[in-house]
Amino acid sequence: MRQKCDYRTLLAGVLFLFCASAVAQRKDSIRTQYLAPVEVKTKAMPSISRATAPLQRITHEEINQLGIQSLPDAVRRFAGVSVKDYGGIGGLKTVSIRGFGAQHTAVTYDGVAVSDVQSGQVDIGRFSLENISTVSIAIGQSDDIFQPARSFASVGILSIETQTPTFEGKKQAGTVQTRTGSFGLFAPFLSFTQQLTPVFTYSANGEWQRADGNYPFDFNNGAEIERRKRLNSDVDILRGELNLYGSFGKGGDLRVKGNYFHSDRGLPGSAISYNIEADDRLKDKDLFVQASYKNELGKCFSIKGNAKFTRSYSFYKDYGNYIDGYVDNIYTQREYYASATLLYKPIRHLHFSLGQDLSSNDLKINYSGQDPGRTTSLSALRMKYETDRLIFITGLLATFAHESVKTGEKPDDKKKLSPAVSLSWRPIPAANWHLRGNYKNIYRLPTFNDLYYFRIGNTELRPENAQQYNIGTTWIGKLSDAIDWVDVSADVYYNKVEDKIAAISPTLFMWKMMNVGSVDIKGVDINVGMSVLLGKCLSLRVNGSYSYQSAIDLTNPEAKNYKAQIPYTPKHSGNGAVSLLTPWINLSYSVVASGVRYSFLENIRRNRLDPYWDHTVSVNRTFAFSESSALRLQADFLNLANENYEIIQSYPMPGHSFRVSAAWTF
Amino acid sequence: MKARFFLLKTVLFAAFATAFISCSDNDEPEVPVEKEWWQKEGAYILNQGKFTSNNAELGYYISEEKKYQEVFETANEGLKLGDTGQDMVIYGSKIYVAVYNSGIIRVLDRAGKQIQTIESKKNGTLQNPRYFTTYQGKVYVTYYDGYLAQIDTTSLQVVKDVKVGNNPEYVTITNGKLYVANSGGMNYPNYDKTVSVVDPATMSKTKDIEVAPDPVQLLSDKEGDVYLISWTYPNYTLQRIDGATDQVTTITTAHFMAINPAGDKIYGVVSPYSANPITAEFFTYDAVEEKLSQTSFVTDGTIVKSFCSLNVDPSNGDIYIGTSNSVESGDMYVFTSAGVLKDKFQVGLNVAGAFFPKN
Repeated sequence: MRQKCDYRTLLAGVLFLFCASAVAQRKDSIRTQYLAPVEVKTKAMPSISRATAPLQRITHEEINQLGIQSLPDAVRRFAGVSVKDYGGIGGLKTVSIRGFGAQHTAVTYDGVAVSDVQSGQVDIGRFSLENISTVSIAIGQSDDIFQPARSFASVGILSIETQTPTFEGKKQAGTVQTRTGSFGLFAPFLSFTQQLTPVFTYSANGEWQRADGNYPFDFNNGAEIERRKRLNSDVDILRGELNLYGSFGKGGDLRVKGNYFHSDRGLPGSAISYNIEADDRLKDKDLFVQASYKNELGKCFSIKGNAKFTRSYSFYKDYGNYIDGYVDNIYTQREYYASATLLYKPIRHLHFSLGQDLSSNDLKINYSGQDPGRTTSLSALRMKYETDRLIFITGLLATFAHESVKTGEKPDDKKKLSPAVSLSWRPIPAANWHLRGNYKNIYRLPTFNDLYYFRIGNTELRPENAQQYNIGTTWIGKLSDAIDWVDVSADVYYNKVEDKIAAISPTLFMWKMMNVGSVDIKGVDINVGMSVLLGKCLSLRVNGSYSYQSAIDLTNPEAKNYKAQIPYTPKHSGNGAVSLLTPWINLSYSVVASGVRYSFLENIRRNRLDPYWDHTVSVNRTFAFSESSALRLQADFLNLANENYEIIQSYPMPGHSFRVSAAWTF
Repeated sequence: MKARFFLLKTVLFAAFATAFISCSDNDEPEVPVEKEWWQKEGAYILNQGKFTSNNAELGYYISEEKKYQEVFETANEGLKLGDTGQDMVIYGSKIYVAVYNSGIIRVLDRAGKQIQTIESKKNGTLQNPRYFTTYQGKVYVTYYDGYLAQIDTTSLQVVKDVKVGNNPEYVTITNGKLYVANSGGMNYPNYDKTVSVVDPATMSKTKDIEVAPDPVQLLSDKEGDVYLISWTYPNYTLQRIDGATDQVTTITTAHFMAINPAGDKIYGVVSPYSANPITAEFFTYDAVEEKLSQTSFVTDGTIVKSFCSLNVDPSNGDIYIGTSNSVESGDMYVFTSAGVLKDKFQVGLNVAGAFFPKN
């Protein structure tokens, strides 16, 4: 077997299907927000219980409450969602929904999609958790039809919303925070916001995160346990963001954002017998600038425009049996993106929207002269009918993609119309009980790795075609004076993927990307949340979720994996959280659990990954000094069971560790 | 060859002597002693496993029982073989397994029990073993960082090595000379295109022979000629290196090969890299007449897809063809020397090949 390097093989998207885990940090918009001393007002959030498709959300406050470590740690608590995690702070972290590959998940950052045409999946470890106001995931069709066409082109959307400053009586506010913890973690964070004029406000924040990351773990060589350390796991990450907000009244709202991410990390590689050497380095320099403008034109029309430029530079130093002992792989991606959306409300209950997106992407690789490019046009026409008890949405998405290459074979251009329809209904006027259902067709274009990866890529690939069905129910209510809040949701779904893109070896261990797969996914997601008042100033919040997933491969009745559960997809997974809120201290416990998974196609011992439970305990207290000034102290104890479980085979997760932080807001 | 037979004879003698002694110790009627699995006719099957997944597998196929079983973990209390089982060789009483990505050679007895591991470092970096050959009581192994090393079969240590070319793959011995294929396979587009000739006595390189780019597989025939397959993308090339003159002639396109026990017939496989698991085609080459024949050595029309290994049992001429699409467990097809399918059994992931106890 000849392998250039494992990282590049990973990039090639070889069978990336993910394990699921979940939780529900749910909250309905009717609930009041706990406001930080600097009043950070979150936007009016869409109702979770009325949504026609499953919508889950975690707020900034809940992130703090539960001692959540990072954006991926927040996302893995959603039901039906899994984060593929290579372990440690620096390990690649991607999101997949209900048995679909991570390429099917769209990630938006303040309403604008983040894209990666090379791998098709976004490393969500890239984003800071510190300035986030909410993280939500919508599975299927989102109810908000006033969004760019791109947000309708995927199985689901992970939306990351950052904090929007508002001021009460003063002109500026800020946060100084520092975190430290196990494995050499040190992460200071600064944010500052100021009202320049009644029209303009700016905010700036920056974070530096460094860690040695060389955590100990137990390596099972089959006969005995070796106590080892992860090596070359260090990270050095800088994140910076600058926002300018303009509020022109009748002239609309403008938001301009510049975001820079710089990371230098070691790649510890897979944990295997004997060979513990790891030297590979990955450096990323990503910059994006985006502008969003929104305005209401009279009573009937609203417009929204987005523009974005992204440049992602990735430098991978691969040590191995090369002439010089290493090879440098440099990938540079650029994207120019523009989007215009029109919302038309002719009558009270009926809304239409028309969105047109254009994007141009290119990729340069230092060892290839192919220079692939793609121009994509997405047009979305949607209709929404909404009354007090009924929401009905339907839409059609038109995809057109033009492929280009400087040298080599050029794939055919692609076009497709994809429909979607969804419904939510409250049968009994007096009860907060909803029924919902939705259908969506998704057309996933091959990534540049799928098409062009050195010898593995296949320019004749067809897009993946997926069907997504969901029916469910939600209920919100009050059981007694003590149990003053309960929300429940249960959904049953069926997904079908055809022409699934995967790598197999036609001969002599050499891989090729092909449309080989057909996958049938059936599942159930259940979420329960409640709030219990234990006294005048004591309250308890409880959340839990459970997911069942049967995701079986139906590609070939003669194959050894026919009807086997697809890789990295547990049949059972779930999580839970309990928070006790008191005037003195807040205490919370949370757990994420997953059943058996398989790392590869066959459900055999060689591929089996054991079930795991990951427990976290967090305590925090806020000391208020004045109306607008407070100090918050927090301590988190992670992975209490000290299990080096694996999400990805041969990539053990850290055992127990701790983290403390202090944040001063003014 | 002499040393090989001597060692084998010693082992067999020891085995018989033990049996004899145990029989003479009691006067009970003689019961035929049940042979251990490794004493039965068959073949060791090495499976690479998935790169970085630490799941290489060593198994044994007992031909008379038509049974395949995992043997290394069973014989070593569950110890995993390691990451990417690249090649193995059986020499004397020992088995040498090159575990490429783990960077070790495991030395086992014939029952699969580990005796020792050989770990070699160059400039502080672990060397990754690739392929073996044996000669006059020594085992030779290529290391992917560019070396050919000599292993002493008593001390089980690397005693000498020599820098050959980039990313050496197969090594073969003929006329008292070692031939090493320097692929340079990690250095696209600057593949190596040499076969190094090494004197085993001094472990010094005597010359480099220029061949088609990316040379990988080597074998030698009974006349001392060397055959080479270069992985010149996308059309792999079969070349012949004259044993006397080192003259190189190109024969045809081929992706893999093996030689019959008599050393006069080469079995070739054409299985090009394509977007589909294609059907492998087979041909034969007369190594004495130097004549190519497109007649398949598989004569019963069996279709083989996703080809990945070809070996011939030197004791009876049986042909073992391994298949794997690298995502699910592979299959091993066993054909008689006349090309008729005898058996087909499931093996591990990514079959590296079949290796025979009698050689």
